[in-house]
Amino acid sequence: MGAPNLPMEKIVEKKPYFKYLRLNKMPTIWCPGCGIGQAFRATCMALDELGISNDQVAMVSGIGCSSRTPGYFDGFTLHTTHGRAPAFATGLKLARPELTTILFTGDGDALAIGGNHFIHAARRNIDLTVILINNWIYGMTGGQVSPTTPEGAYATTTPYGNYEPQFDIAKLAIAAGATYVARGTAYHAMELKKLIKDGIKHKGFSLIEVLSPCTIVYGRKNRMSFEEMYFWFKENTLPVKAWEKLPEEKRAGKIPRGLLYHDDSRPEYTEVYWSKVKALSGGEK
Amino acid sequence: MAKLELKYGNHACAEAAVLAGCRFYAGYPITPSSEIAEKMAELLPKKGGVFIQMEDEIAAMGATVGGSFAGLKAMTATSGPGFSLKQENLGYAFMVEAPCVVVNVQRGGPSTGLPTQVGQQEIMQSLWGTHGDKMIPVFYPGNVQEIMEETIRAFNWAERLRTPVVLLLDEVLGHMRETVDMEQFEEGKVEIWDRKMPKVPPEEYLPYKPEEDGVPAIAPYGTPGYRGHATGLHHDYTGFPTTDPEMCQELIERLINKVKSRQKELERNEAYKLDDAEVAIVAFGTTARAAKTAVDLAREKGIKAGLLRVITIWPSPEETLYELAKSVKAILVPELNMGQYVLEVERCAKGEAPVYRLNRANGKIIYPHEILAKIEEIVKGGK
Amino acid sequence: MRYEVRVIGSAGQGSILAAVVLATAAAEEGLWATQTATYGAAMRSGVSMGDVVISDRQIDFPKTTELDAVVIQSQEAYDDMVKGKPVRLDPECSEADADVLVNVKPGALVIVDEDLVKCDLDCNMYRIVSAPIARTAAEVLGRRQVMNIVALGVFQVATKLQFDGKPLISEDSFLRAIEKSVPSRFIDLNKNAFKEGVKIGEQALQRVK
Repeated sequence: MGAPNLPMEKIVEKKPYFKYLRLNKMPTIWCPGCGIGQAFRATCMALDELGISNDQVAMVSGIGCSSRTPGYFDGFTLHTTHGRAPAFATGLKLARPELTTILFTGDGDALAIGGNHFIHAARRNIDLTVILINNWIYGMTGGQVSPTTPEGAYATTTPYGNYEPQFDIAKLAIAAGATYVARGTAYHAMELKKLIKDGIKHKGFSLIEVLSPCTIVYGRKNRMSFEEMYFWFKENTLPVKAWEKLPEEKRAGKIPRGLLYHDDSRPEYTEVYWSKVKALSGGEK
Repeated sequence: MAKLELKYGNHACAEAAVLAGCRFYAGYPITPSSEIAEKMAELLPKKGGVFIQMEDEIAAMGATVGGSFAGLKAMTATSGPGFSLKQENLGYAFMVEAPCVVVNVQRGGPSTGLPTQVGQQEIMQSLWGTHGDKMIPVFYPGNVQEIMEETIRAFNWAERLRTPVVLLLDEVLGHMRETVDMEQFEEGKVEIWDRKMPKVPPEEYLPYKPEEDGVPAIAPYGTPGYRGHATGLHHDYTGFPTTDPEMCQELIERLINKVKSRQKELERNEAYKLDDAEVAIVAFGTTARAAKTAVDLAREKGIKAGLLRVITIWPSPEETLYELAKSVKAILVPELNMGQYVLEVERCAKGEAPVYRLNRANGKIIYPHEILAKIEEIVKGGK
Repeated sequence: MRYEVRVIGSAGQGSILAAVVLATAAAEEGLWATQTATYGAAMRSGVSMGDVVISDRQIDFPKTTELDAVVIQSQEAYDDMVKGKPVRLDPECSEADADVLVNVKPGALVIVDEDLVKCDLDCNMYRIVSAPIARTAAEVLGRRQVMNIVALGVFQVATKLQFDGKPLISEDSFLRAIEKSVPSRFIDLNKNAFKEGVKIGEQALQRVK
């Protein structure tokens, strides 16, 4: 519990990504075994490797477990309303294009209540990096069904099993206009760091879906221990290249990981906007 | 020397916003406010500002707060249905103390109502529309000249108090062209207030610690060293969530009091022929203009009528209304709704004078002769 | 001083633009003005109107109540809004009509297109000025669309009847207002239209006297 006893300089020396943490705000609210921490750590490590300082990062979120992440990030952080993070972030990024802007969101936040903002941010190809923690359930409110809950799975609002189809987040983002789309899991931590790092580097709308176990709420409802859930990610996902080589009939139930889509040809929104402004105003800001 | 220019109400609002230093506008099309967005789309890029049409009203309000946090003076405009959708993030702006101006060009409601016709049905919603307690300044100009003045005043108070300010217009004002004396808006003549910046070094910086005036000095996002956290949750001086009851109570009281304690400074009214008035009309916006003519018509008939035109709707001019009630025999509140501000007038009058209503919510304005008829009825009633 | 004008016509005849130019001209003249119109679904099908109130001080009630002048560009507009209708102050007048129908004051100017509008108002009660407005636009200027501005020219001259031989607003103010109100490539055309309107207005005035 709490901050380690080592002085900060010593910690940062050993683990340089610790400089992004608001250690005095810890422990986090996340449950034991939750995968959000993995995604957060991967993000901090990615930023460190990219040499982006705390003062260069804005982190924006909505509501939900994953949306609490910005509170623990020592940057310019905005914890907004449910589903609306892409809207706030669009305003902030347009006004301050120099800030690396990262969104932490979840399947309910981004795809249900915030679906409209999510697809329009992707359509604009605005330079936001969206880290979408997909844990198949509404965790913070106690386990209700979400747009990604697997069919047959139990949630507090599907006591007889879920009978609704799911969103394929990656396909949705690609169709909406995202120019960098990747999928990682909380189990494959170092791979996730690489995917997030490339997403931050990418100029345009990047989506990184992170399959992440909701150990306490989803796990309990569906009788899976947290070990089983991590193991499930290991067994049922595979690198996209390997997945592509699979014959059609063997793909069922297997989820591809890695970079799923990348397009550098489309212009980025804030660059387009500010070049227009420059032409109209003669550079005045 | 007067410099008269004919200006379209909604355009005047946009032009005044730019004069006040507005450099960020996020909007969504809705009648009868779209012309504000259209004008902003034309003006802001040339001024090096940001204009964006968002995917919906909710997003427009969200992006406005995002722009405000980046340090820009920010505005959005809408009308009835859009104003309802904006309430969520308007409440957020109040909670995180994001300065911004939200314009509502009122049309007939409820629901989709009467999109192209006039209403004054968001008098209460402008203050109470979002869940939870709130106190924000709400201004309601009465002519196009005043649209410009009040837009600038709205920005100034938003920035000084770090609060959203609602500017109420109505369809008639927004869609009207009227002569404006531009002399007072010439360069250098407009008084502009900017938000304050932190005076402490970064290591002592607490974004939500109020200064003596009850307002915290939050640095624009991106200011090196001055990192911070903002949340719609109850929060402490660091901006981080808290459920500590003392801290939560302190926060909500401060948010309300920073506006309420300045009621006198915020108050703006026009008193017309009230000195010897026996019947006082309390009105605002387009209806107040009919009321003013009705006062003259009544005076021609020997009835001592007067008008208090309220411009700062919230916080309401409690004392002024109480003093008015003591000095007259009756008060009439005509408004284009089924009786909203009349409740506040009744509350403030504390029974010192009977308060009468004249209500209409069918998209039509109230004409001077209708107010005159009501005044005559009140007078005949023995008052 | 409070002076109320309404321009009415069929949709597409530019009644609102004429009202905007008139209100702009008033401001150019150093007078105060409001210009209002009815929008969208509230508009009557087929006919449109633009209202202007002019005053030497800031205006209280911005809409028209008693017209000092009405410019009539088409028969259907005349039939719908003026002919034999109850007026707003009349108890017969429904609220739905209230925006559309107003008193035309005794002594008011009534400008009509002599070819297009058959007006049976009492010429002892109103100052009826009839001129070939649309014909001038079509034949002299080659563009029927500018008949609204020709009508403004007639109106400008005709106000002399109400203000002791002096017009309410000068020609110069109108010409400056046109510069401010119409797209640049149409400025000359509209200015010429206004001047032609003044010409036929002068001729019509001779007939009224």
